[in-house]
Parts: sequence; C-alpha cells; structure tokens
Amino acid sequence: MEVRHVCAGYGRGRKYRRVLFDVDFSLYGGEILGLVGESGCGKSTLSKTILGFVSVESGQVIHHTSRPQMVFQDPFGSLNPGKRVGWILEEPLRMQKIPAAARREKAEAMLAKVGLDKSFLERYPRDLSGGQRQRVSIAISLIQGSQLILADEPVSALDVTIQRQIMELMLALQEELGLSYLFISHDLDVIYQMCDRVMVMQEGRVIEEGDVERIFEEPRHPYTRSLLAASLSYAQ
Amino acid sequence: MLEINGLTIEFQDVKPPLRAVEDFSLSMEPGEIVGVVGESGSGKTMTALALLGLLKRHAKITAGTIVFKGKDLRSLSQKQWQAMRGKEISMIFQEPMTSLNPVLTIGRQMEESLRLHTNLDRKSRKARALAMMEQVGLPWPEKLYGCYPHQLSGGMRQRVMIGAALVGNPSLMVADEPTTALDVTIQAQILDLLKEMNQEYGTAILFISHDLRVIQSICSRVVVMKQGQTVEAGAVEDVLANPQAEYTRKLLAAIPHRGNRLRKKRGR
Repeated sequence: MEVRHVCAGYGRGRKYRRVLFDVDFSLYGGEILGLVGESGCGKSTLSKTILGFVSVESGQVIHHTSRPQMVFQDPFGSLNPGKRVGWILEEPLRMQKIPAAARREKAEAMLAKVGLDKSFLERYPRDLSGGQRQRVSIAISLIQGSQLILADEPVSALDVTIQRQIMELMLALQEELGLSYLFISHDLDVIYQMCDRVMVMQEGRVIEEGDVERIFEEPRHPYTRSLLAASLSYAQ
Repeated sequence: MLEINGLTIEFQDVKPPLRAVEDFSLSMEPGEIVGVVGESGSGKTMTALALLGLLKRHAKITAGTIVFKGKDLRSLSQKQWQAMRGKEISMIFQEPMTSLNPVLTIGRQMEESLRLHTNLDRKSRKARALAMMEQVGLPWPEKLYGCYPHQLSGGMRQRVMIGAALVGNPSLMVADEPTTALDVTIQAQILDLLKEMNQEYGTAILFISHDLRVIQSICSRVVVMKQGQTVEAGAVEDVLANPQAEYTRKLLAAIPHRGNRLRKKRGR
C-alpha cells in the first residue's frame, strides 16, 4: 500500500480543519509498520483515510491488494451484541452470496486459526472475555482474505498476559499468511516488540520514520526523544 | 496508620456468593506509597472501594477488619463515613471525565472537601483552592476556577482530581489507575506530581494499577493479586527481581519491554 502526500481533515468550507499534513509512506508486503503518537496526533484519522472513511483533500492512497480490514481497540463496540459469533463472522460472506454450508465451514476454519474452537460460533459477544473478543475481531478481519490489516490499539484494553497472547497470535498469523499490519499504539514497548519499522506522528505530521532498532536507539527528532524519555520501561 | 486484616468481600447477588476478595491483608505507614497490581477481576478495585466505604449494596465485607488510625472502618455509619471521606481518606479514579461532575465548575469541585469538612469562609476556601491548583500545576488558576471539566484536557482534569483529593490534606489517598487513560508524556507528569505531593504533604498513597511499569516507578512496596487472592507481597525491588509466585513470574514475563523482541523475522 502507498500513501502519497496525503492531506485530509474534517468539516466543510470555512469549518474545514486539516488533520493530516502531507503524510507520505509505503507499507510493504509482509511488513509490520508501527504508528506511534499521542492522542489527537492524527493516528486514527490516518487509518480512517486509508479505509476511505475520510476523504483526502490532496494526495492519494494506493492499494495494491484488496481492501484492508480493521481491528479496533474495543472489540465490544465493534461486535453486534445481538448476534452470535458465527453470524457475525459469516456476515461479509453472506453479502458475497456464499452458500450457508461453505460459510459455516470457513467461519469454523477461521476461528481455529485464531485459537477458538467451533463452540464459539454459537456464543454471543457478551459471553466472551476481552481476549476472546479480540480473537474474534481478528478472525473477522481475515475472513475475506485481506492481506493488509489496520490494527488501531488492538491490545491496549487488554490485561498484560492476554495482551501478550494476542501479540503472539498476530505475529504467528502474519508469518503464516504473509500479512502486512499497520499497527497503531501509544505503547512504545508494544511497538518495539511487534514492529519492523515505526512512524512517529505529531500534530498530523510524520516527524520521524525508521527501523525499530534505529528509532529506539538513535531517535533523531526531539519529539521522538521526549516520547522515549517519558515512557516508563520495565527495568529488569 | 492503616491495618487491613483478612479482608474478604463477596458479591451476594449471585448464588453461590462470589468471592471478589479473599483474606486480603495489608498494613501501611504514614507517607508510604504501596502498589496493588493485578489483572481485571483480581479484586484490586473492590479493595479500594471497601477502604472508602463505597462498595455497592450487593458487595459485602464478610470477614476481616480495616483499622485506620485506630478506628474500625467496618463499624462506621453512613454519616461517619461522610466525615471520613475527603478529609482523612480520598480517592482518585482512572477517568476524570466521568468522576468529575460535568455541571460544576472546577473551582467548586476543588473546594468540595473544604466546604464539607472545614469552617473556612468562602474567601479563604477560594484562596486555598487557587493555591492548590497552582501546586498541582494547573496554568492560570484564576481563569480555570470558573471553567467546567469538558473545557480541560485529560491531563488537566487528572490534575484537578488530584488537587481536589489533596485539598483537605488527607492522610491516605487511594489512586485507582490514575494514569491509565493518559498519554505517556502526561502519565510521566502525573506520576511526578503524585510523588511530589507525597513528599510535600506526607500523604500515603495506595496505588492501584495493572501496569507493573507504573508500580515500579512510584511504589516502595507492592501486593500482587489474582482472582481475589493475594499471590505475593513485598518490597518492589524484591518482588520484581526475585518473584516467588508462579503468577508474578508470568505477569513479569508478559510486560512489554525493550529487551525482548517478539518479532523474530523481519518482513519486507
């Protein structure tokens, strides 16, 4: 995927407020690209722009694979509470008019991939723990065969031990299926553990970009340095 | 100063009753910062609420004692609790947006505990509130005094909460995940502020968090909880360097940190 000199914002006419300023990057196949920044820096607007929910003012987003899918921080908000997991998983397939038996088979296979057995097909989102719900949202994002996943704070709402399991699951799926992730997080340590490359955003601009090791060991931009200095790191 | 012994809290609206906290013990000296760490459902917030007499009706303390400055908190009446809260023990929460009253001005909320627990007149209350606002690092206290919570950023709201919790000069402050909803740079500022206030006023802090990184940066002792049980307790350095319980080890291993990359192969 390529994001070329994108400016985007909200509102119309005089009320228009630009949120993204000349954001320009590529996300390569099989790569995990981290996006870090504080609230209001434009991280979420960028992912909405990539998905086409926010239209670009100038520049363009070029997709080289099928439409990307999204995994959110709070899977409870994104799973229909009135439907069973099986129904929710099959929804995109139903829209493609795939027959029921094939749908069910696919849903079951996808659940297995994220480490849940088929009994979960019959459960409601409210019966699932936070980690299980996040597994279901990952399964949904993958069921149409998307190669690119935009993950917006996918582990931020989870307990540390569960957080670790989800991170390991996402890494295993990445290797198995050759996925690419745009991994958004405010937790620098999570970014360090998961990503190949990082972009640091501040006030709608990408102010620094580079390999994880380079950014953490030799941050160049003063803002990156201040972020690293402020973040607590577990000292063993 | 605070002595909790064998505290057991049960939810009695389900059958059989569900034990939220079992046999919890902790003693705190004046001015100490003690951490309680655990994942969701570990009972850490229930313990905090019990300390303020704020347990919901269906959650009952079924065993144990909580003695604060020689007083048995379990025997307090609703009225005695009101005299205690804010004056002797105060609390700050994770989400200042929901725990500050949206329709009251910042100034009024800063003064709440002064109005309830002191005989100060309006003018001296205001002076005290403004001084406190300045101390917790709120810019232009005079201007913010008449503002409402929605006009402030998350970090500023958390400063207001801390100021309002400290203005009555309590001996103990219970802080339930006070920095979890904040950005890293703001989190660092708020932790520094709490340390500073602890030094300045000698307020003891019971610091509840799921994040061992935060606990490590601010607490001297820590209690590790899991599903209502105390798994391990001790000095922070000892527990982190030499965890005795299997669960503590698991928790430590799961903390994201920069010594351990999970991503083995790099993609391109």
